[in-house]
Amino acid sequence: MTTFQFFGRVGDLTGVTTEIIPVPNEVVGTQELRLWIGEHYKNAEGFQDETVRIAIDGELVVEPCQVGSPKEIAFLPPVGGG
Amino acid sequence: MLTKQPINSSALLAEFNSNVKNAGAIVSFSGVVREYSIDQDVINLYLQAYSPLTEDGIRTAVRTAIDHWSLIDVKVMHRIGSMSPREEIVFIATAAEHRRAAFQSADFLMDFLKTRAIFWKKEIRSDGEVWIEPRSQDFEDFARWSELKLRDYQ
Repeated sequence: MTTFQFFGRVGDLTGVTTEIIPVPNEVVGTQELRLWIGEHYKNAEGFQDETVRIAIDGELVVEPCQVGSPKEIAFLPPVGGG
Repeated sequence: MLTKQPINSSALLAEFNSNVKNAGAIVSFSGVVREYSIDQDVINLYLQAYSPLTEDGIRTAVRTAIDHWSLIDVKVMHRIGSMSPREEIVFIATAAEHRRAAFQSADFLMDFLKTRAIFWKKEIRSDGEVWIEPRSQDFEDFARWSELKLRDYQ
């Protein structure tokens, strides 16, 4: 199981800030991850937004890359400042 | 560094003052939740952080400031979660031998927090909810410090 975190306006797309769900076997790389999570939350377009970065197990990744079997995946839109 | 509890800048500054040694200058800054934004009443402000990346970024900025201005001490406290207008959202204190270093480093740290720190900020206004992004002025302000070579988080 993987903990998904959705920050900022991405949380508005999903309706939740955190969800624990398994990553399907067919999700190998970040491209498949974006497609799958977009379908899961019925908002494919929102997750194709390249300004939304992905962090896997607390590390910002350079896409495309392998997803693996992480404990946590986070979707991070541009920061808003403090 | 991050807190969900209200910030008491007077108490933080008193503690900072009592602990710092041989400072010739101490500068502090408090950021406060505005009561209105674009002519709309602000009902609440909500801030998200992504730990530990948010804290790591702030620590890098603090280390950069200490190295560049030879600071004696720095304190950064940032509120997260929900807060009301007039509550304090951020407190910064810098201590240096001389005033210019204390002023400039506090200015730099605030510019960092406004543009580079990993926060997401939503205003709940009388006319709806809006995610806030940095203003162009905030980016121009941070660009003043490009000489510091902040490559760790660019």
